[in-house]
Amino acid sequence: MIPATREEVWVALRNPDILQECIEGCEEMTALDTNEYEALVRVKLGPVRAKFRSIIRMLNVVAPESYTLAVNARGGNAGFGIGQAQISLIPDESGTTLSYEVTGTVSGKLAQLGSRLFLSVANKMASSFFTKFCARWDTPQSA
Amino acid sequence: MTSKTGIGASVVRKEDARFITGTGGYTDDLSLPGQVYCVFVRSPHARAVIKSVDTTDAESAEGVIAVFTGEDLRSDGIGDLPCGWMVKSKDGSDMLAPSHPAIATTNVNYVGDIYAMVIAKTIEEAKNAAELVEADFDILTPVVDVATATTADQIHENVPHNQCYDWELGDSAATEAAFANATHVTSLDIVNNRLIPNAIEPRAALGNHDPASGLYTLYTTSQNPHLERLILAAFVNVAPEAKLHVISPDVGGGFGSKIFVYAEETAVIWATAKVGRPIKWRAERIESFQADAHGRDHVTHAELALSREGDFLGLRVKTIANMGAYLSTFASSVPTYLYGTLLSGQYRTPAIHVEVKSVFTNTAPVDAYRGAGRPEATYVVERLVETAARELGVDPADLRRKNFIQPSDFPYATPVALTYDTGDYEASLERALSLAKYSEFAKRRNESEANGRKRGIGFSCYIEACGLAPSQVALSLGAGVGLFESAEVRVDVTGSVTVMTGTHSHGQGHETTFAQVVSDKLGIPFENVTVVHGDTSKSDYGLGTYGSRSLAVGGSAIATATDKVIAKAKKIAAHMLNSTEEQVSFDDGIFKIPDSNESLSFGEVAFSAYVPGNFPIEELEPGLSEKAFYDPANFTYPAGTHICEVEVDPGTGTTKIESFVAVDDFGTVINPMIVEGQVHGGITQGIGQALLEHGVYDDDGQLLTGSYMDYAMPRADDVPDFIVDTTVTPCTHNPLGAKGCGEAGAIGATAAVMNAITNALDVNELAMPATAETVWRALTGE
Repeated sequence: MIPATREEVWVALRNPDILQECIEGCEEMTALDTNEYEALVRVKLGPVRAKFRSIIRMLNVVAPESYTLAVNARGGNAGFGIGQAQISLIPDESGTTLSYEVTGTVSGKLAQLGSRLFLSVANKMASSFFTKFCARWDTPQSA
Repeated sequence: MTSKTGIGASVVRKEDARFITGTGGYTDDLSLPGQVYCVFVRSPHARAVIKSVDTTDAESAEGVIAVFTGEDLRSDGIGDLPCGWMVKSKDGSDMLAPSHPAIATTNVNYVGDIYAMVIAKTIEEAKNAAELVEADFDILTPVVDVATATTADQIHENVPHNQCYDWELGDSAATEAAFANATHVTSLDIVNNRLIPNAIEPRAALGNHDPASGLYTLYTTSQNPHLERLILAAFVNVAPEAKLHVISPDVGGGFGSKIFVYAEETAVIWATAKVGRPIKWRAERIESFQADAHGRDHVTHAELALSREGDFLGLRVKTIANMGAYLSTFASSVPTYLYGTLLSGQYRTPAIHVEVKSVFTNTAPVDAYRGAGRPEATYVVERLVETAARELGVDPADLRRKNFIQPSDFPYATPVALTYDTGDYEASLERALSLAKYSEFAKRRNESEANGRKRGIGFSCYIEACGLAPSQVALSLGAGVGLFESAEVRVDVTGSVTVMTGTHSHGQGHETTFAQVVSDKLGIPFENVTVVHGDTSKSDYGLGTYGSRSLAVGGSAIATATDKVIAKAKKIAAHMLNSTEEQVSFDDGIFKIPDSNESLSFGEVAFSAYVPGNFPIEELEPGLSEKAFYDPANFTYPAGTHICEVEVDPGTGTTKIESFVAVDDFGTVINPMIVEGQVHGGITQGIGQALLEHGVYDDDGQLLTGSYMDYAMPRADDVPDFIVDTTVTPCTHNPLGAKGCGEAGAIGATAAVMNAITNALDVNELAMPATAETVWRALTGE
C-alpha cells in the first residue's frame, strides 16, 4: 500500500533515477526509449557473483494500471538471466496497492550453481525493490 | 626370482611415495618461463546461433595478450575435432558426424560449448577479460530428451532426425524364431543414467612453441599422448607429427574422460605459436562438469525369451544412445562394438539381435566412461536374468548356472561376433556364493523383517571384452587406429633397466606392475627397473590406457621385448662362457651352462654388451636394448560374479549396502594389492551409479547437476568393506596370461546393487539412481 495516487506511483515507477535508487546493486540506469531501459546490476546468486548488463522493457503497458516488466540480463561468463514481472496498480481511498509476480530462468554457470536459488533471489530482489520504493512515500518527497 | 617383488607379489607401489607426499608432477604443477594463462568463454545456452562475437573490450582489458574466436582457428587452417571410429548403419551407410570445431563459429550446441578464448598475463586478468567478450546469440529451442530426439528439431544441418546411425548386430530372423518358440518372455525398460566422470585432477594443458626449432610441446592430462599427437597433427593440422611433442605427466585419474582429444588443449597448442608465449589452462571444476565427456545415457527396451525349463532361447535389445552435441573421439564405438558384442554375457543364448540408434542432443558429448558400453550391456543382461528368475520362481543362481557357457565349450563363439577364449563362470559364482553366505540369506532376511527392514540380494555375472584390441578386428569394424602396443626394454651399462611403454598410468600403478614383470623375468632387483611412460619423444608409439588394456597388451609388449633381451643376452653369455646359445640356461638372473660351475650374472652380461671386450662383435651388435610391438590375437575376457546384499528402511527409503562380494577372473595377476584397489574403485563407481550419481539437464538444456552440491559422488560411508577374491583361468593368447582388471568393478557392480534393491522391494523396474526418494516412492506408490 502506497500513500499516493495511482498516477503518481505510475510516474515514479518509470523514472530511471528512482529505479536505480531502489534496485539493490544497481550501478547505472539509463532510459533508452519510453518503455526501454538499460541497467547495470551486481547480483550474488549463491557462489556466483555477476555484473548483469540488463535490458528492461515494459510490455503490455496499460497506463496507469499495469504492465509487464521483461528483463534480459547478460551476466558475461556467469550466464544469462531472463525474467518477467507482472505489475499492477489498484487505487483505493487511502492510496495505491501495488502487486507483482516474478517468473524467470537462468542459464550457464548461474543455472549450474544457482538454479535452486534463483527464484528466491529474484523474489528477494523484487521485494527489496518494492520495500524501498514504498518507503519513498513514508517521508514526504517529490516523485 | 625374489618372491617378494616378482609376479604375484603385492609390492607396495613405487609411485605412492611421491603421490602421498605431494611431490607428484601434474600438468598444473609445471610452469614455463614467460607463461601466460588462458580462459575459455563458454556458451550459457544449450542451443543458439552465434550472431556476432565482439572481442574489442576484452582485447583492450588489463593484461590481455590476445582474444581468439573460432574464425581465427578456421582461417589458420585448424581442422575440426574428429571421431576416430566409423560406425555404419544397418543399411550400409556411414554414420553422420557433425562438424566439431574446437571453438564454435556459427552455432553453440551445449552449455559449455566454447565460443572464444582469452589469453592474459595472469589468470585473474584472463577471467576479468572473459567477462567483456560480448556475444549476440539467437537462442533456439534445445533438444534434450534422448528418447524423443529423432522427432525433435534438427540440431546439425547434415544430420537429419539428429540420428548419428541406426546400427544392428546379430541374427534378427533367428531371434524372432526364438521368441516364437518361447514359453516365457521377460521384458524390461531400462534407463542407463548419465554419469559425469569426476577425476580428482581436472583436465589441464600447458603448450609451448619454440620458434627456433619449430617444435611444439604440449603437456596435457591425456590417457594416450601418442593418439593426442596423431590427431592434433594429422586431423587438426596443428603441426607435423615430428614437430609435436606431447607429454602426459602424472595424471590424477581419467576413467576414460581423458582418452579424448578436447577443444581446450587443441586451442592452447595452436595459440601458443600465435602469441609466442607458453600458455597454461586448467579446468575449474565447474568446467569439468560442463565439458568433460559424460558417460552412459542409454534408453533401452530388452527382452529375454526362455523355454519352459529355463533355457535362454533369445535376446532382443533396442537401445537409443545419447551422443551429446558432437561426436567425441571414440563416442560412436561405445554403444555399438563395446556394447552389442557383450550381450551374450556368460550365457549360451543362441540367438541375439540388438539395434542401437545413436542420437545427438544439446548436451555435453558422451563417450567412454569406465567400462564403456560393457557396464550398459551387463546391466541389460543381468537385470533381465534376475527378473526372469523372479518371474519363473527359480533361484537366480540356479538359472545362471543352467545357462552358463561351460569350460568345455571354449573357445566359444557368441552370436554377437566375439569368441571367448577361456573362463570358468561357475567357479567364480560358487566362490562368491560361499563368501556371501548365500545359504543363510533367508535367515538374515527374516531378521531384517523382524526389525521392520527389507533385505534383498542381487547377483551380477558380468563379462567384458578387454585388452583393446586386435588391430585388424578393430580396423575392420571401423576403428581409425590400430590398437597394438609398443615397448622398449633398455638395459643400462650397469645392468639396471629402463622400460619405455606406450600405455599411460593415471592411477593404475604401472610403474610398479611393469617393473615386477621385468624384474621377475630378468632376475634383477625390482628397484633396478624404471618405467617411463606418457612422453611421445621417449616411447616409440602407443595407444594409451583404457579398455583394461595396459597389462594385457602393453604388458605383453614389455614381456616380449624382455624375452628379446634375454635371447640376445644368452648369445653374449654363450660367447663369454665359451659355449653355445642352446647350452646356456637363464634362471633367476644367472646364466649357466651344464656340467660347469661357471656362471654369469645378468649385470655382467649387460656390462659386456656395452664394454664389448669379451663380446661376439663379429656376430652381434653391441648394446642390449630391445623393442617389441605387440598386437593381441583376440580380446581378453575377464569375468566374474558380484553379489550385493542390501537392507532398505521402508520408512525413509534409505538403502544400506550390507555386504558386497566380488569374485573376478582376471587371468594371471601380477600385483594382487593393485588389482584389489582397482576392484574397490570400480565397485565404488558402480555403486555410485546405482545409488547416487545422475547427470541431469533441465528442459532448457541447462546442467542442473553441475557441482558437488547437486551431483552426488559416493563417499566412504556409502560403501561397505568389500569382500574380494579371484579365480584364475589364464588368458590363452598373451604371454602373461593376463586379462585386465581396471573396469570390472564398474561393469559388474551396478546390476548387482539394483538386483538387490529390486529383490528387497519385490519390484522389477526401478530407476537409477535408487535414491531414498525413488525407493520410498516405489514402496509407497506416491
